[in-house]
Amino acid sequence: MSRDTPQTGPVQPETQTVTTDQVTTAPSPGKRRKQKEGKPASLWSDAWHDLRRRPMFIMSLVLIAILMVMAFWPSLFTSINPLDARTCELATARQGPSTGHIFGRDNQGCDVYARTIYGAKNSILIGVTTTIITAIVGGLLGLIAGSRGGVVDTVSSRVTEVFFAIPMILGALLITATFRGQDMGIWIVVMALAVLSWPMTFRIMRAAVITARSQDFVVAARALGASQGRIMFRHLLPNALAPVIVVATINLGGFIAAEAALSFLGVGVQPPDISWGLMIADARSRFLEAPLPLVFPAVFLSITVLAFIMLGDAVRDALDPKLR
Amino acid sequence: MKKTSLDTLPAEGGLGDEPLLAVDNLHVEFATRAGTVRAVNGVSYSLGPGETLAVLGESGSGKSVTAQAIMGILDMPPARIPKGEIRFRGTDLLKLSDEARTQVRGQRIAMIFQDALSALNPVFTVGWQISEMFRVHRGMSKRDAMIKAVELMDRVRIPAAKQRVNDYPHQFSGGMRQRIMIAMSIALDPEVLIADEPTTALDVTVQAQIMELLAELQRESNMGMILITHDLGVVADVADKIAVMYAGRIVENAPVHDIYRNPAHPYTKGLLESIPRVDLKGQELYAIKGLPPNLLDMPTGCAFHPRCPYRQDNCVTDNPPLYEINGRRNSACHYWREVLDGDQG
Amino acid sequence: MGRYIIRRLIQALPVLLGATFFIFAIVFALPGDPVAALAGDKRQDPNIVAIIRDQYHLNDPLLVQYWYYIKGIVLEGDFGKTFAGVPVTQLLAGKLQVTLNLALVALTLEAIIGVLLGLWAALRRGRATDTAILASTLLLISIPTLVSGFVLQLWLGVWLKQVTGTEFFPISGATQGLKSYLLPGFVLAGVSIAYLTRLTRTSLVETLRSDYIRTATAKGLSRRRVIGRHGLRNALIPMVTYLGADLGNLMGGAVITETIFNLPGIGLQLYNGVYLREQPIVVGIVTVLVLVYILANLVVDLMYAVLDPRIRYE
Repeated sequence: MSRDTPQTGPVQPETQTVTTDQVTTAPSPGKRRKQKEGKPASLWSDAWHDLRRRPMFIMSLVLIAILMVMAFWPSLFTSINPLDARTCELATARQGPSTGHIFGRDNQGCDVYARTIYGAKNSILIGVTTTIITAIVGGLLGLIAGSRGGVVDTVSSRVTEVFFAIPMILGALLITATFRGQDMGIWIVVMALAVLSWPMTFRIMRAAVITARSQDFVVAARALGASQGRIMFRHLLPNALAPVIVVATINLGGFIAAEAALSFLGVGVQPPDISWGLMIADARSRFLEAPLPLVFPAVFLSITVLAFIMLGDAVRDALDPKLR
Repeated sequence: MKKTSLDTLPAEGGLGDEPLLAVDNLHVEFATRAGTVRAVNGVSYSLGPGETLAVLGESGSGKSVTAQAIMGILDMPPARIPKGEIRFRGTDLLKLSDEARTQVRGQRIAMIFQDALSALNPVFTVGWQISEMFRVHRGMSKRDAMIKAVELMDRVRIPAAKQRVNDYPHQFSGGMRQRIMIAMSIALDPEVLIADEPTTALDVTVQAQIMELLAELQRESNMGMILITHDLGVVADVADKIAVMYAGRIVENAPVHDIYRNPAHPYTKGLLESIPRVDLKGQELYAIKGLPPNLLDMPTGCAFHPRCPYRQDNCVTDNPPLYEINGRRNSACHYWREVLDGDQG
Repeated sequence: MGRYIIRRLIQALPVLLGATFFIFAIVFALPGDPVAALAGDKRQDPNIVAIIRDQYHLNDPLLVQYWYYIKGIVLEGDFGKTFAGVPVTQLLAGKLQVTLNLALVALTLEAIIGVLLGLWAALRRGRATDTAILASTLLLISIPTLVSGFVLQLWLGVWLKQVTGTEFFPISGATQGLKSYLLPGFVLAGVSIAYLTRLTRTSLVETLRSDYIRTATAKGLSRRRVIGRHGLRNALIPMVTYLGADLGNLMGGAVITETIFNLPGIGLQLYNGVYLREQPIVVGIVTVLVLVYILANLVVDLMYAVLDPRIRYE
């Protein structure tokens, strides 16, 4: 940070106009944005304007849209229902691509393409719900801890430290392995990932709220007698939202990768349900002779993670130009 | 462009007509997303040995950028120097090779900055940072360089220098940190010292001590000093001459007493009148109307005209040249005579 | 410095207790009979159940049970026993070395590649090199260990051997010394390399903008010294912090990597525990790893203090 640049956080709603001071003493072009005379743009509309012109953002949106359709209407992509065991023929196991089975067949003689398409559902579902849960739980607790301060803040911060001390995959593995017999479907995966990752959102929200809390307009609102709730939701929350959204988007890709890892290890999605991680685990035993049944779900998994990481990157760059 | 090597730089003396340091018609611009910002527009000034030049102006006037151009520490790009010369003992620094330029920096022209806390590296001890000058430029051993560092800290009057040489910048007070900055800058006896707002970040009492120290060091070594400030109060006691900058230009330059007695530019006059004075207590303090100009969208004609009480029609269209008032002073105002008279009336 | 270390140690204590309590609570506060959960799907003799209940103090309240559990860890290094009665710690003997080797190779690759790429990108900021490096980090982050492991095993292990006739990268086991660890190490480091590259770049760019870098330049130091001595030294601080936090990801990744490359380390042992549904093995190993992680982060915290004097004298 150059000394003359005002310490405007990424979450400030005021416009950043070009001052002569900035121009002469901190000549770094990345920090300035062209603005139309007399029409101050807010952070969000500014970010939106910026995002629309990023090819990375457009590309990730298109990919995510396709994946969403794939997840919820897989029959649009394939006429084979892989959940129906009759579509598999053991005799044709590991057969290469052919018409009607463009990705070939797996170890059980099931159609790899259809299974890959149907696998999108669990990845997307687990990724999105975990993200929403962590954002809401971590965000709310962070908002409360940050705006209340005091004992509430100290206790909840200590608690998050405990969760930070447990590596996500290991902790999730422990939880899912323990509850494996409870027949909870994919929700145990969601719960396990959420339990271990809400502290990330918590920490970011708390920090953003604490920064916002000491800003003049919040101090003024408090001095004018605004209620605690009003200050929290009308003043602090909107100003702390941007970093939480950025982290949530970036984490989404991580959750999808984590789900695949857990399923691969046998504690995630359970058969007969379909998951890319499971497909990779199944194809593993004959991988070196018949790589395709492993490669296709692997490619889909990577593209899905890529789409969300790209989205997160683009959103971060747009909301927080300082990090560019 | 032909690069001159350092060897052509005369060592000491033998200046002839050439001053120690001369900035001649310097232009600096920055490429930004919003367009080209002309931060310095044809600035000229000169400095002799033992002389102190105060460069006065508000932020954005180009005073710091000019200094950074002299030091060669502008980031290029985005900065660009399309025109002008910076002659040090007759050699244009802008034509020197990078290597030769590095030899001048720190050794012959040194600089101290406004905020010593951020200007000193937080992870090295102050002794390490001062002694680095001797190790890198003089090839001294760590031990000898450290002894030199303690000597310098003594010289800038840091109490218990020997004990504190291994402390880190954040362990010192603001004034002490600025002393360390000064010790570092004078380590190799530079011929020119540029002080960029050296006291702005400090308490008033400490300000005076630092200015006193600088003046004393200057007397001892006969170095030329450029004092960049926005504070007229700091200038009066130490400066020999003053250059007032506005919107990237020098609008007035003169010996210090002439300016205080009788400014020849409405901007200088406004600055002087906005200093609180004990004898005028109770009266409303004067303030220059309006805001500093936007460098991306400069006013036509004289850049000061939107704020000027002496404005006439031609000020809006014609940019005034730097008129010569007498052999020693200039003013970039079409109506400098009126400004001079007005003050006497 | 001494006070800082003591404060850090004291702060780590509740985290250690909290983390172990978390693990303990998950396993032992399960609905239903914990002994049944311990045994997974296997049928149990009621007499043995009674003995186990007594042995594990299962008739006591949760906190008392936790007390015995902690006491066992601290006093006897007892991380539980397998169904066959073998202590989990004994299971880990000899395997620690493999995992440690893997982690060391991965960390070394990560530090070298990540820092160099990040440095290169930072110095070429905004130019084609920078854009290319950033784009490749995006790709690297997006390819999960699970995918890169198998793909590289196929390409660099199998395919390259077929084409050249020489085995550059063994695809299974840890019998060929360093060579065995190169490919798994790279796979394990993959995502982290990308993040470290980005972090190095951002942190160096930020550092190079700071006032003390301008001072260093004004001192007449060479660009090499300004960046190498003054810049990198400061940029190192967030990088070390990252490496500490990243150890957790490496541990998770090690389970996958060791499974893919059949490296007989702790990760593979954990996988086998999961596969065989031997819950005590899973719990024991996870506990050991969490403790190692917390201690490693303590070490990183101390390193942080060495690097940043402002922290040291707080």
